[in-house]
Amino acid sequence: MQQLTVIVPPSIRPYVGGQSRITVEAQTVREALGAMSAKSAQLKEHLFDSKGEINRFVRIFVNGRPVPLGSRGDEAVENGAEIAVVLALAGG
Amino acid sequence: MLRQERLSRLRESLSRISVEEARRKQKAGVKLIDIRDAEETAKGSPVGAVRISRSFLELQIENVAPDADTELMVLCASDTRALFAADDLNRLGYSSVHWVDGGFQAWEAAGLPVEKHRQLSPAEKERYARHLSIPEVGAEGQALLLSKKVALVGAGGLGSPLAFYLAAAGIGTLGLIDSDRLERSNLQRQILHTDDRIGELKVSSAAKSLQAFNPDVALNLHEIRLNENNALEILADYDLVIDGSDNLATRYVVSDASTLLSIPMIYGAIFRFEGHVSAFWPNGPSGGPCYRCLFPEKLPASLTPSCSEVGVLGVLPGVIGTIMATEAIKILLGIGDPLIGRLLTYNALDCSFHDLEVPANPHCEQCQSNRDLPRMRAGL
Ligand SMILES: [Zn+2]
Repeated sequence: MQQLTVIVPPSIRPYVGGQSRITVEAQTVREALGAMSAKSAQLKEHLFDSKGEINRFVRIFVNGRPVPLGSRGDEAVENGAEIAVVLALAGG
Repeated sequence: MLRQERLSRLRESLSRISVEEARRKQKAGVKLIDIRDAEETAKGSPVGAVRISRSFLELQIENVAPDADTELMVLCASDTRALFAADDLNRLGYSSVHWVDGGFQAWEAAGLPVEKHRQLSPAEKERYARHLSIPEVGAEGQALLLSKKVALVGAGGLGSPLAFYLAAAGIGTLGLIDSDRLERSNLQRQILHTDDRIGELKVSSAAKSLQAFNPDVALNLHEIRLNENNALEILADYDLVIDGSDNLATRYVVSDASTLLSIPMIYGAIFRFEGHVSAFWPNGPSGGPCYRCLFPEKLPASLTPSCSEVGVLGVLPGVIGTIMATEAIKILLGIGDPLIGRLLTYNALDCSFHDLEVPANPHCEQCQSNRDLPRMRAGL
């Protein structure tokens, strides 16, 4: 199984043991988010809505390129890809 | 009348063009040199003309036209100085020089486009000397900065380096928008303020620091919290707005207002060791997204702790704020490759930057709607 790196935004890091980067085994963005939130129902709720769509306040970039809004994240991702999950930051 | 004799000889022998022809040639890329003195060109000069005073012409023309074959057009107030200057350029070796008949007076009378250039005072030349030496800024760029009005939302962590560096750069007018008062816990990062001003309004503390730092910068103090009802009126006056606020609602308000006003917005935000920077100008020359294209839906409150709740490394707003100030100056000068359509993220702990591509959302109701004019929305 191929491995992907997920860059975790600070506000959801507590759900992944405080890690800013985690390695997951996945073929797609959706699988990567699923693997990342497998152990936390709360994190799953932050990432996906009740219909299983990726929440619109969660922005995802694969190797710096955006996953379009409204995508379910089913696009295949190449081995070793870096998936950046980006949430708004409020502070200033 | 030796002068008259020489002039009529030059009139016969040199290549004469009308102001209309000069404008046509200029559009085709031929350089138009305005050889009048600085005091004259200060009141207006043909748009796009190169201004080299007659007394420096022989010394500086090679910077503009290194090649003696370069076609040149010379313009003065009417035509006397242009004739002598064209003659001199011929002698210097330039083979294709035209004098513009009627000069700037005829140019204006023909209704051709004119631009005004602010002249730098001796004190300004000294203060901004290091900018003047950079070709990308130079005297014209500095004059441009001195003519610009920039609104700064928030005079806190990000606002501190922003305000200092924008004032240092000679932005003509800085508008400071903040309704908070200074607290001791702000001083771990908000370098614009001082210990003896705790309890003061941040905008008045900021004004004291900036006045002392660069007294030439005009300051507009807006002791108010920006919202969807007041943003358009407050920001209407400015050329660019910088979002250094500390909450998401204000960020949406700044984005909507800047989109409606067609002014660029510089965005920055911070959290503990991490920061974001981007620039939004959906109806600017290169298009691109607005803040709502990036974050169409507001982050739930459970995921939105503020600096006061989660803390922030004191130097972090320094890093992010100075990148924001750089982007603002680049956009004002029209130089380089701005962060439009890109989100720069920074993690101080591993010192990593990510440059993420952010396209406009074709369905964005705020910046891409062609149905009817978008309106200001509540900051949600
Ligand atoms: Zn938009």
